[in-house]
Amino acid sequence: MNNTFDTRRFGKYFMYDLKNAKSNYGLSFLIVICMPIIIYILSIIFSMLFNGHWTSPSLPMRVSLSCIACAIICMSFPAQAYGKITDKRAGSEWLMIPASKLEKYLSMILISGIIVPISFVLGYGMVDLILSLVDPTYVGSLFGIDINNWLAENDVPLSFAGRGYWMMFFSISPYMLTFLLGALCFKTKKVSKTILALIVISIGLMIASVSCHFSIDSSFLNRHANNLNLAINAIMDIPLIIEYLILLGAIWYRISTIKH
Amino acid sequence: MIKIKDLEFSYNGVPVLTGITTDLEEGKIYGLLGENGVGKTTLLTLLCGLKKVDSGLIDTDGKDPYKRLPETLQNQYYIPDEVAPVNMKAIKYAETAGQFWPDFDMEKFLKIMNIFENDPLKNMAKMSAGQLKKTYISFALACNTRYVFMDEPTNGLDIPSKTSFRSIIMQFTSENTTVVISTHQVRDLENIIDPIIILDRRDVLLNASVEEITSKLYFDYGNILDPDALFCEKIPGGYIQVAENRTGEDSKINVEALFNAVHSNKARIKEIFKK
Repeated sequence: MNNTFDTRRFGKYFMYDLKNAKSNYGLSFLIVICMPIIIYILSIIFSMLFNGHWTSPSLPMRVSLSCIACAIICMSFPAQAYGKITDKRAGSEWLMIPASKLEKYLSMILISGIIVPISFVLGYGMVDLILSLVDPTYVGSLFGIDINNWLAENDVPLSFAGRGYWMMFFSISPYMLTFLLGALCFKTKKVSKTILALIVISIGLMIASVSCHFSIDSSFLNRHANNLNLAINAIMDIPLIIEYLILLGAIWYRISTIKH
Repeated sequence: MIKIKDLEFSYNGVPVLTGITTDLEEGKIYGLLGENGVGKTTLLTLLCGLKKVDSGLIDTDGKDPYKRLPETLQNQYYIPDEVAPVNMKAIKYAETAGQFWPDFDMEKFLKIMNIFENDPLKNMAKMSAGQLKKTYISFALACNTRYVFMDEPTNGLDIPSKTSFRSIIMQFTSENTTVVISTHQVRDLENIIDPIIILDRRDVLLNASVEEITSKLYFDYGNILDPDALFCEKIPGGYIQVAENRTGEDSKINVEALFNAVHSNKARIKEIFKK
């Protein structure tokens, strides 16, 4: 028997984990992705009451709202889906299910770091798109936003492939993994303690970068003037890759050492 | 077979188990007894790999349980004292979780649920603590694992369920299954546990089969006091006394009296059982 990784066992475990995530978080997820409908209805009710006009929420307001929805998902999903792993009163089932640590880890990372962020972006965007198709006053859809246009309008000499949609994914996924790590490390008040830890780490990093006089080397950009887009992407991507590696390593370490 | 050698474990530097050495043989139903805080639950969690030993060794069929390898995990099931509800019908839970234990038998699960008069179509989140425990006991036995660890399994069960539990354990554990039951409710399990392990913080005071115990100790239910008795308690109509069995006469074991006798004569009991 392969005690490290078995494809068939992993498939079985992954489906089981997905079902559990759905049963633990399905309803909350549905409510969050339906937020555009809730806000749409509220906006119509209030505009009819106070202005007597049918006014749909504006695109900037919807973008802000999508950021709030995104934050809600990032903070709540890991704690609700995997937080109980560290709580022995919630049972030791996760530790005792006959699957390897690697299989459990991969399933957790795939669900939290890829499936939920993509489902959220698609689900939320679809709800918004349907509203824009149903009501002509609901101008534009979130799927129609081109980050490159916005960057060009603001004179930022940068463009992202695929209209920058992948940026949305990469702005959700690391936060999801951060809160997953928090859910696995803290036994109680998982979300608030993770936020507190993030604040402390951010302040620490700011102090460290100021005290080390850290700044982007302008000569680096000059040397790559012909490929400025690539250079800026590199500057943005390298910390992201480091962040991913640290998070993935820390989550692996944590689940390898959980005791009840 | 599970081998425990010089096991030591502490919580934040406070020793709980020190120098525990014993073996758990195949096909037996062990009763793990001990005073509060001696580390019965800790020992069970160490045996199933939920904790790591500080020093010493636990060897489950040649594997360290703390590594939690699928090979080890699929051969064991642990029921904690407090079981958690799952937002799922019992039958659905058995179906989804059971697929990870290769010998899981759904028919057996339903049979045991039926004996317990537990509805498999009921959502586990809506079950009472006793019903939930019965569901987990049914699931654990239906997994057909080599090792079943149970922490206070009869806590929260009503009187008929305790009777059912005893008959289920006798009926549904195979010859190869080793069951370790940690309990304070010795009367609930008196007739099914064999061997009996009595744990002390620093030692295993006793690990002996009922046959061995009754061959070395005599349980007297008469009304004449024996001055050499290791333990004596007044009961309606006389006394229950535990004394060294010098004549080889057979007697019926009383686990509660045995426990008290062992605890009040630790050195003497060890000496008797060393012979």
